[in-house]
Amino acid sequence: MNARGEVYVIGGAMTPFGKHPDVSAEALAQTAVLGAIEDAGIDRRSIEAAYVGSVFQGSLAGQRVLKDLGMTGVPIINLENACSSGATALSQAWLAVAAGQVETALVIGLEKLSSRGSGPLALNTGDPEIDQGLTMPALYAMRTRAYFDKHGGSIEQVAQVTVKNRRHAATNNYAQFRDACTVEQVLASRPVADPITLLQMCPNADGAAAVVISAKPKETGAQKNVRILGSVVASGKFAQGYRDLTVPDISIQAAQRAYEMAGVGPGDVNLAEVHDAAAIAEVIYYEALGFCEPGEGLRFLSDGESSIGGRVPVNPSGGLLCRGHPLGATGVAQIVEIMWHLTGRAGDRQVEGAKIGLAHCTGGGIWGVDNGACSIHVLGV
Amino acid sequence: MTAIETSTAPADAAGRKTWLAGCECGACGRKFFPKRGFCTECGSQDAMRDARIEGPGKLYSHSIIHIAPKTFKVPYAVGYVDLPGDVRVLGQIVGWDDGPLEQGMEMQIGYAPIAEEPDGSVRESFVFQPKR
Repeated sequence: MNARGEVYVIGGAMTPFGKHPDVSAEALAQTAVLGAIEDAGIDRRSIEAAYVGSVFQGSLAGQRVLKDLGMTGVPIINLENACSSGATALSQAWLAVAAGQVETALVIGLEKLSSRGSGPLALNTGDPEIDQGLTMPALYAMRTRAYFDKHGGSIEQVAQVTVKNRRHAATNNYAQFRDACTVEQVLASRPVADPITLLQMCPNADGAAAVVISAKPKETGAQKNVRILGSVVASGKFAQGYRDLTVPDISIQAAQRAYEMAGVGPGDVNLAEVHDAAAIAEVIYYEALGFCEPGEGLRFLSDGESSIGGRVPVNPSGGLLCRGHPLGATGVAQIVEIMWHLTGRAGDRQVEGAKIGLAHCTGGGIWGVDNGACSIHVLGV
Repeated sequence: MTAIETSTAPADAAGRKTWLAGCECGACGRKFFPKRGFCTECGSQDAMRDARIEGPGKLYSHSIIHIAPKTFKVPYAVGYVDLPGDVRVLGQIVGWDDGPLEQGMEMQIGYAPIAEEPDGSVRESFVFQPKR
């Protein structure tokens, strides 16, 4: 893909993530959509197409959201790509705008998980590993052990990811978990899949996020225009053989393509929102995204390089560990967070002077592939 | 083209096999478990033949699971075992509480009940057991 049409993120909004048992998924998404349109400063009738990511929201999720806002009639594309559904919707919307098919498009991510009961989400049956009793936390637990076996390290060090992200989330009113916590509390929380405890896994959540993207930059005076520099979707390669669980090939491949498209390298990134579905995942992704060398992830964390004020603040929002993970909404919420930082609107958690931000979403546990789908976006001002 | 078969091979009537009923591509030699008709490696559609995936293998990584769907009785252990011929298989580990599990330890193939289905029937499957 070599589209060179400029595409701007001209507005965005999200609902607080958390348990919203009395609010429908559609209503959550409508709140985000109206917020994004207001933030963009446009008339809702300027939206020429809508791209909508969700996993469990059923057929025609986008139509159900938009018809009650009087916004149907335009093309609405509903997409499912597991944890990357929202980011995939953005990538497809970007393509439509970059190619000149439409000038302005709306991207929505939504998910309501509280109505599905507690505990780990039920995964697909018929998958040979899930039939044996594999759970997503157990997969991350095996990645944790494989990481220690290869590079050394301790679960106390990994737990620092949760501690750091809680610290970041302290002033993020959109995050579900904002209380400070200690390594001891993380490790004393309920065992899920040894060595992973509850506070090392992202909570389920309800929530929605929306962004407006356009070929036409925003016309507001002082505020900087956020441009999409790179937009990539990748799928995991099937392999039966031995593989290194600490080397997420899908994320590495997607990052390389995104950097190439954006014309920047990992050293240029000022902040990143990455897919910390589990604490160990964030460590592995520091390395996969090139923020540090393989095996250096725990040192990168403990040296404060991934904290706000460090070299590459990772998950200034608190990430999935604090925000919660309403599957389809996560990828779009990451874009909203980065947009806030790049336009100097992130409040007390602002990454000062941020010019380049990277959003990374990956997930979907199916047998034989590292992850089902991964999407990376690079934004810049 | 034949349907892609990815279902878990059941234990035979005699039960106690020490190998997995997998397959091998006659064109490129790639081994698979569970069995399948299409070779993801070379793209051959009709070259697959039955093959024994033999143990013992080596444990790559594992976890003791404490929260799981109701069909599985917690706690239980799962692990990735690297079997000879570049075949990695995930299975439950029996005897996990008899001693520590470590990367690289030898794992034998066995068969055991691993879950209780919603209708009360027992799901029997291959399992791995540490060779201590």
